[in-house]
Amino acid sequence: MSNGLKEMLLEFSKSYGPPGREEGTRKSIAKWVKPYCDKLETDRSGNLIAVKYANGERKGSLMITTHMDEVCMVVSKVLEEGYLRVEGIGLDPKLLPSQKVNIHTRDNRVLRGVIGMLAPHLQTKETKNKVSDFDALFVDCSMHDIKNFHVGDFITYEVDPLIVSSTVFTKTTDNRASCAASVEALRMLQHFRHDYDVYAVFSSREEVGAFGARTAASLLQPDAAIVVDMTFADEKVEGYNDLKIGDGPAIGKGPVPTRKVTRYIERIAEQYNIKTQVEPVPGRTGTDADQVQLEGIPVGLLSIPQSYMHNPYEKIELNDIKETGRLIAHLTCELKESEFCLGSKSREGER
Amino acid sequence: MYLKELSEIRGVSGNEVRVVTFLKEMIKELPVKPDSIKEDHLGNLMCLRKGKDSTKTAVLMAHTDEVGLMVTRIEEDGRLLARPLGGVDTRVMLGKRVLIGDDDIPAVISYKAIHNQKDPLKSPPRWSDIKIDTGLGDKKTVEKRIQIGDTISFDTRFEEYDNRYVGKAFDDRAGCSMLLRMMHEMEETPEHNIVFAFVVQEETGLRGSGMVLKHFHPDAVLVIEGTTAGDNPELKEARWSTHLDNGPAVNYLQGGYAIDRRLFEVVLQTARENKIPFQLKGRTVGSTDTSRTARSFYGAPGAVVNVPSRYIHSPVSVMSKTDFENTYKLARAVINNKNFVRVSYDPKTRGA
Amino acid sequence: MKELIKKLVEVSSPSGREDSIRETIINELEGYVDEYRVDAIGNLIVRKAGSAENPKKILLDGHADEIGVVITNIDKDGFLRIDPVGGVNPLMLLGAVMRFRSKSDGSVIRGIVSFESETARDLQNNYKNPSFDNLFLDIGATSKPDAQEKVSIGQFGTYDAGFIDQGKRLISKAMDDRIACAIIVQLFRIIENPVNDLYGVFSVQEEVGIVGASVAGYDIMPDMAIAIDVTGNSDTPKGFKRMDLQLGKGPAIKIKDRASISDRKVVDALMEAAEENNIPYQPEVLIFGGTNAHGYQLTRSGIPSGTLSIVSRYVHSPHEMVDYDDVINAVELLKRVVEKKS
Repeated sequence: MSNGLKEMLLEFSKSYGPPGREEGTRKSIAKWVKPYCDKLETDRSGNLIAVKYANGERKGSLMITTHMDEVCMVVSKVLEEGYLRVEGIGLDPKLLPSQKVNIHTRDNRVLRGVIGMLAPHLQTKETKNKVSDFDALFVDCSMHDIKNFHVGDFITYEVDPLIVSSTVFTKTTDNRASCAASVEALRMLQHFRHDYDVYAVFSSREEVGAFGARTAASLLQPDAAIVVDMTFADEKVEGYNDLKIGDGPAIGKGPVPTRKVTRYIERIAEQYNIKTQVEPVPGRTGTDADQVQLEGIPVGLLSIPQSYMHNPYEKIELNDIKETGRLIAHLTCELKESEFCLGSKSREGER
Repeated sequence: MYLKELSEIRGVSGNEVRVVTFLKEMIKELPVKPDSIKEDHLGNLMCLRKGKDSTKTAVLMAHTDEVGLMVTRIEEDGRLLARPLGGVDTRVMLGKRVLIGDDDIPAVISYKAIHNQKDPLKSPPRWSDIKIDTGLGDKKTVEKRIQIGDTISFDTRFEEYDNRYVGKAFDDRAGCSMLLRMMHEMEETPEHNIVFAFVVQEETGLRGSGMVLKHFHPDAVLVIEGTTAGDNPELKEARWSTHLDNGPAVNYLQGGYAIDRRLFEVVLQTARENKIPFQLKGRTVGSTDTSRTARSFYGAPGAVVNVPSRYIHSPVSVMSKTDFENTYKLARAVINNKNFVRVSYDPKTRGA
Repeated sequence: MKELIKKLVEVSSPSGREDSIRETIINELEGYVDEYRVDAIGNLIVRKAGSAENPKKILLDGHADEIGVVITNIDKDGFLRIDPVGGVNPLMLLGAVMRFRSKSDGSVIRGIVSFESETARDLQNNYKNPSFDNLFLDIGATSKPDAQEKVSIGQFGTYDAGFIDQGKRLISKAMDDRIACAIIVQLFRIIENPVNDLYGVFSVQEEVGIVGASVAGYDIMPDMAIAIDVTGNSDTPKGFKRMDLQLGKGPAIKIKDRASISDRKVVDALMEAAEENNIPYQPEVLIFGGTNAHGYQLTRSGIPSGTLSIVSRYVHSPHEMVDYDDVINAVELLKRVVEKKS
């Protein structure tokens, strides 16, 4: 199976899916999740929603949210001489000089661009010490007729994924690794009984404000939700505990994740020997969970450990994805009505 | 009412359980019980007193959470690093006692001796400089009793003087205390429905109050907050927020919301009619839950009355007793005022 | 349309105090709408029913509020302290005149802003680092009681700057966002029998945090919402080099700003209508700012939303400049979009 998982992840990674324009990714995910769900549709917010109904007596619904959009750039000005000025969405400008990029044009073609930087020979003492921000960066698209390009065209990284045993270096594992985990969970659920409908929501526009997750939560009004995103691992984050790639999903703890849901996740992880880590989040989580909470849905947060977030070559461990999928599957099956007072009546009642 | 208890209870944003438990126990003792009590999954506690006119609903709101910290790292030597829950300045944390986790483990936040500092006044400490010492031992020992994610609160005893209260979390246990007292004293059926809403997670982004609009349909919301003063020698008077002893402070503009004009006028009118001294806030910084209720779901207009409280968001705040009493009187008069729930922007009924 | 624009921009209605502009707009729409209401927080919502068999619901939004200031303190000599209402750069207040309404007789009270300066150096520093902490407003009061007779703490005010018709270019305060309100009023006037259900929302408190538009769509849940707002420009000397927004090049069809990415359906509908009808337009990526589209996108199960912008110079100054042809073209473009049969 791990071959299938790797193949799926790489296809998701490669697919085209800027915030609000997730067409390519939606297609890829739909293809892989279709065999494992009873219904598949796209809502008016652009979310892809795969439903797997409960077996037997249905007690309620659980929403698994993983955002499918990617960080990228968008053309903000076209220069006749063959260059483009851009606006970044979630990117560190330091990573851009000398990158090959893909420019997605209005007529749905993908054209090459290169983000340029002065060669060392031409640098001055002054320029040597400066990091270029988006005002100083430009995309060289002179390989093509400038008429191909327009303000509003989206631009994504061009990468050549590197796989070393079960470690994968590629773009957009944030958050397509979580999408893969979600598909994995649905696949495993083929063999299990569960009393709750599962809505696997592949949400749109998380990177610009979690619009998809909020509207999906409003539409579906699930009894509870699990949001799966990524977190920083094998990186020194000052003041925070060390998380490791390979040590399994991190469980988010803080005001945003609902305490009872978090405790449920911990219990199930222990019961099924799924290794997990703890991620303290003392405020906004910066994920879909923030908006799901505001909609009034009890929400838990799982994060897959990753290094080099938002880089062209992010790093993840396939086994972490698998274990996250396994955890989601068990969270679904073990869900009982008494768990955290689910059901619309009891959500208002005594805790 | 119960200001001392409410001030001392530990209830940092996201972990308000103890405050809610205490409130529920006090509600059991009320001479007239609420017609319904709802508690949602976040810990918002909403008590409804049905009114003679049940078509109109006013929500009176205070938040149960206080600012604090969260354990984010345990060092090898057993000391803890933390990050703030809500707006906490590092400068108020030095030299304090704190309590950690559900077991109330005590600890201190001390700093390297001044003798060993090259330039003691150079810059304020960073959060990574705030090291919390439990005295329990090394990382292995500490981990047996404290976990990443545990909440940390200030450890402050409440004190009472002639015209001053001194303690932590007056923002917003002062508000909670007033709601409790109002429920206690509300022996008759109110004119219109009144929902007493004790909401959570205000300090970490106004994250609890929106839920009230899912359970009730308020015509207006009145928030009671503990607000900044700034009336000290280091800030010029023109930029004070409020002045202690000048009475409850009324907002007209805050972060994210301009207080509803009609409700603002009802508050001022009510104060004047009942001869309750009041002041207008001198600053528009900060936010309250009315910013959330105005923009959530279908939206509800709101107003705020504040009890001035010096040094909020620190381990020790100072309030005026007369302000506290007058804020209570004003809030009570406003929430019972039938004009509070009869504001309408319909141009045919302008002047309301 | 210039008369209409002039009427709307000259009303003084900052965020949270939109009574006057609401009343003005209701008067301007008299006889042109089937119904109107004002919701709980003050949004003015007007509607004209569509004649199609299965009419779509299309919502057009222009925010009724403008930026301004609020009085926070009256000192012993009658000088006022102010705080901003919305994004007001204190530098913009220097040399501007501010306007309040006298509480004693309703007349207009005007005030001048200046900086504290105990020394020349103080003054220089305050110019370099302007902040509301070190400026004050002078309404020419002779004493504190004199000031208190005219204004109160908690009173809101705006720029005092009138409408200037330079022919092709129009200049005024509050083009942001009365130009949109004018466009919507104009549309309701010229579309006599709409195909689709047309909703016009004159929303409140956009400038302090997109408050009105977060709730205005809740009961309507239209098929599409188009926010109309001003946007920045890059066409002044050494203007923003990373953007491409020019006066006179047509209304701007927004792809992205810092608050939202426009729904593809809305962008496509606008671009198609523009191209089919030879209406000039410019695609827009704004590297700061946001519009009410954000609020509609987050409403309930989501409303496909985008923004049509009017390029404007000197936004949030007392004298915002737009191109009249851009405005006319925006009206024409929107008319085509809302009238399109599904």
